[in-house]
Amino acid sequence: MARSQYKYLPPETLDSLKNIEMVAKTLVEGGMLGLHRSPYHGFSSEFAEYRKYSPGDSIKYIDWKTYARSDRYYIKRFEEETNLRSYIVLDKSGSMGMASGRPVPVKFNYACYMAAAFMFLMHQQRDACGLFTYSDKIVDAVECKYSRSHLIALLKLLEHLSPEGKSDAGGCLKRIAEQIPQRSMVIIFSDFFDHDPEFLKSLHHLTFKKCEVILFQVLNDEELKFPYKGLVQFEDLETGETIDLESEACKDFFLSALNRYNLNLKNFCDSQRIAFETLTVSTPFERALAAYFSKREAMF
Amino acid sequence: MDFGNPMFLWALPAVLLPVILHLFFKRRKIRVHFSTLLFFVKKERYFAYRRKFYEILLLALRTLIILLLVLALSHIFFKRFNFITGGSTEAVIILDDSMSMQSNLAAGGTTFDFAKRKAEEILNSLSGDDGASLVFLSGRQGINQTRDKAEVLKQVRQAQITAATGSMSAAVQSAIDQLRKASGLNREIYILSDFQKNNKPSRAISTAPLENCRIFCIPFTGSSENLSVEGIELDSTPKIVNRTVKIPYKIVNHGKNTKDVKVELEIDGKTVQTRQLTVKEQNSASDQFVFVPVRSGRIIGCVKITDENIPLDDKAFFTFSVSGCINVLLVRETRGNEPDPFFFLRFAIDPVKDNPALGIRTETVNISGLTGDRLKNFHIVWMSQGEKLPDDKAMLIRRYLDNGGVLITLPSGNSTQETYASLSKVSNYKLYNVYRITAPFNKTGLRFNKPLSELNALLQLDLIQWRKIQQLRYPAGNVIAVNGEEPMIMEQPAGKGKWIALSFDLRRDFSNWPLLKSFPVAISALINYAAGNSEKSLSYVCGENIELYGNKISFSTTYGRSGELKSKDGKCVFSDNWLPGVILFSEAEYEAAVARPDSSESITGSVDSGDIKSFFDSPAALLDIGADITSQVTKLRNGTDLSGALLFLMLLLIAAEFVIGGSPGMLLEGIKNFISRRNKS
Repeated sequence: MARSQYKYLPPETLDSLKNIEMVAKTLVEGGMLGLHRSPYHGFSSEFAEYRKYSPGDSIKYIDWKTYARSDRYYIKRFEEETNLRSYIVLDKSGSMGMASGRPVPVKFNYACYMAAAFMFLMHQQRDACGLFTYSDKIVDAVECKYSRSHLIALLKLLEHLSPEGKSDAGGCLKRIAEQIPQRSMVIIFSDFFDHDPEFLKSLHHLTFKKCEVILFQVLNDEELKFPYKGLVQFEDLETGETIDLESEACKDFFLSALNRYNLNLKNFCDSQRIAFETLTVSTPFERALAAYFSKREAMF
Repeated sequence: MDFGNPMFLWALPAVLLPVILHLFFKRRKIRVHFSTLLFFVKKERYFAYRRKFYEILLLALRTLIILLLVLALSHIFFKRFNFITGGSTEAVIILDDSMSMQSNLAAGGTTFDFAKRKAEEILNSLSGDDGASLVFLSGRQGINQTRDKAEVLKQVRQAQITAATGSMSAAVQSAIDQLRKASGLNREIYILSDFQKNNKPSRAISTAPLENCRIFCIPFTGSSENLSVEGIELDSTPKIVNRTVKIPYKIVNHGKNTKDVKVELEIDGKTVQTRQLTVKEQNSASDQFVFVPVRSGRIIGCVKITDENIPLDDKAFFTFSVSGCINVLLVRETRGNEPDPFFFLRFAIDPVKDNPALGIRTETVNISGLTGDRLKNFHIVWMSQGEKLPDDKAMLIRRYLDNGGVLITLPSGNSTQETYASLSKVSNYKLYNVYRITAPFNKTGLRFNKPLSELNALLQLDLIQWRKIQQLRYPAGNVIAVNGEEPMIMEQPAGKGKWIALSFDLRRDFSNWPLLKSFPVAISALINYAAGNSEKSLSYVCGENIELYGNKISFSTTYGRSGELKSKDGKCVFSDNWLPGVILFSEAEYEAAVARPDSSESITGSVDSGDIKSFFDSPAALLDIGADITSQVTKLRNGTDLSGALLFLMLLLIAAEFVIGGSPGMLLEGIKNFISRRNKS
């Protein structure tokens, strides 16, 4: 993949991701040896602890230097590093199709770029990656694999997605949580405009399965700044419902309601040890990625 | 609507200016596809609606302001009626001359006098080319449409009140007929009336066939305090010299205060009795005078009260004819060898010839000698007939009964149901076949029913022993006397009189009653009960015509009129019938007539002024009697200038526009925004 020919993975992205490692914050389980810590002790380069020799242990793991110093047999134990099972969950409901004055659904595209970047990153560090897309039901469910062809298939799939339909994040995430193995990494891209309490329960379900969950809230500038003037007819992209409003009169109310909602969601995520990041489509996603990873690195 | 400066109406398209500006500066609604509406609250829609409402309100205000300005400049007039300036006017004055217009006004005088003055005002307001006519509400002859207004004026001044009521519908219809014949372009009907409740038509009066017709109502309201005398209805018993005559009367208080009233009985112009009565408000009091005539002949009298309002209903006239005694004609068959059927009867009631001690005088005649002229003088005809009644005699009897006579029949020994069958050919009397078969009847006693039931206790009727009777058809009429279930004396109405049938003869072969002491008393009571009123007078309400048969009928009235009626084909019509009183006729079938006022006219209550308009289905204007009629009519003809009101309204709307739109208003704000956008571009 020297020169990318995929829509959501342009060459400049490949360059920016060259030196980034996505290391799982928690212990993960994987089928192959990899970059991430595993709850199972094995034999990799990372030393873990000493243990007294017991009959039956292979004598090749005896630390002879220690024996020379202490005249006792000790077995050297290493942490087994494993590869990561990561799942990208993409909200493709109608609300993600907000065009922001341009003819393309900026929010959804931005989420796709981010998802593609994460897929590539995972592939690069030999982690398995899967994909779920949902609106009011799970639309696509691609199992977790590590292979070049799998990555290509995922990238191709992203190119064919378009936002439509109503959103049922709560129900869909709950079913996803039931399908994926425990101790996986789940990266969710959505605007999370879902007032359904089931949504929070489904997040809780994921954390209960000891998954690392990262929420990327993708928002337009229009949603964050509400720049409208005069009489505006707002049409809900999911329900088609319309409402005529004097935009200046309801701007403050809208922004405060949005901030209050995001704050509540952030507080919930903090309490569940879930990472919550709000991304603005006006920020180049490479920069947003870099900022996120530097922040994440600082956390370890 | 009419316009003084119609040229300004060309500016009417200017009212579209605010609409055009509104559309030009109208804010376009932006449509945005938004991710979610969850953060919007429904009540925020209010801001958009309010803004929209303000915009529409301001548009309406601005449009109205320009419209009002244009209309004010064009000098708009509101005309309730279409008056053609320069055209001549045809006016009909409907003058209410009914009795209620005699009510007094607080300022003095009667409403009728005041109405006449207002009618003069109306006539004076008409110009030389205008025509006028006079219609009386009572239906009395007025004056047809004429240019000679002096003649109409004279008629108005000479108009007299009547005791009749009137029909508003008929009067207006008469006015429409007058106007239809007239040539003037403007047609006006002036109604001067008190608009009594009883004048209200059952449905609105239409002037539809008449174009360009205006109705002006001039309502008068007089005093509502009024007393009237009603209810002089004498009983039908014959009026005999030295016998009491009851004269019942009723005093009605139509006012709102209790009144003490002096009631007088006036006979032949002299007050003979006086009473004092108290009559509560909206109530009536009834009583009667008892008068004993001391001479025979016609008596004319009235019951009168003294009341300050509407004098015409203060007298109730009556008249009756007084006889010396009850005349009974005994009619027997011409057979000669039969015993006298009236022997015991004559002996009981008129024993001494030419000296009717019991007040009953009898005269006997054979059926062949019965004539119409002879019948006229008798209160009762008592027949004993066995053979079939000849047709010519049946005709005489029928006429006698139709004029209020009384027929008493006895069964002769050979009476059958065919005896009086000839009466059925000339009338529809049910009892023409009253007599059935003669049958033995071995029973005793007799019992009278009302109104002769007093005799049962007075007389020893149980001593009567019956031998046979000729059965009466039962129940074909009113039973006067019975024996057990058997009807013994029956009566039925016949014409204006009655027919009394006895089931027994007045001789000994039927019973022993003629020999008993109870016989003369009972027969005398029966005659007094049966005696028909030979009164040849009639009663009518003022305003009704009386048809009389005769060729040379003269009349005289208690209100001072007399003369001879014109005859046409042997029929005369008495039409001078507008005042209450007694009219005496000569050479007519009626000797007298009593004219009484229409009692509905004693109630002076008027309808509400709002209701007056509902009399008509076309626009009607109410004129104020307190103001000058001419100026009011002129104003209504010319219409009301609305320019000032419109300008004032326009100023109010401008102020409202400044308040709602803000100074200098959203219009100027819109222009400013437009200019700034142009500058930017």
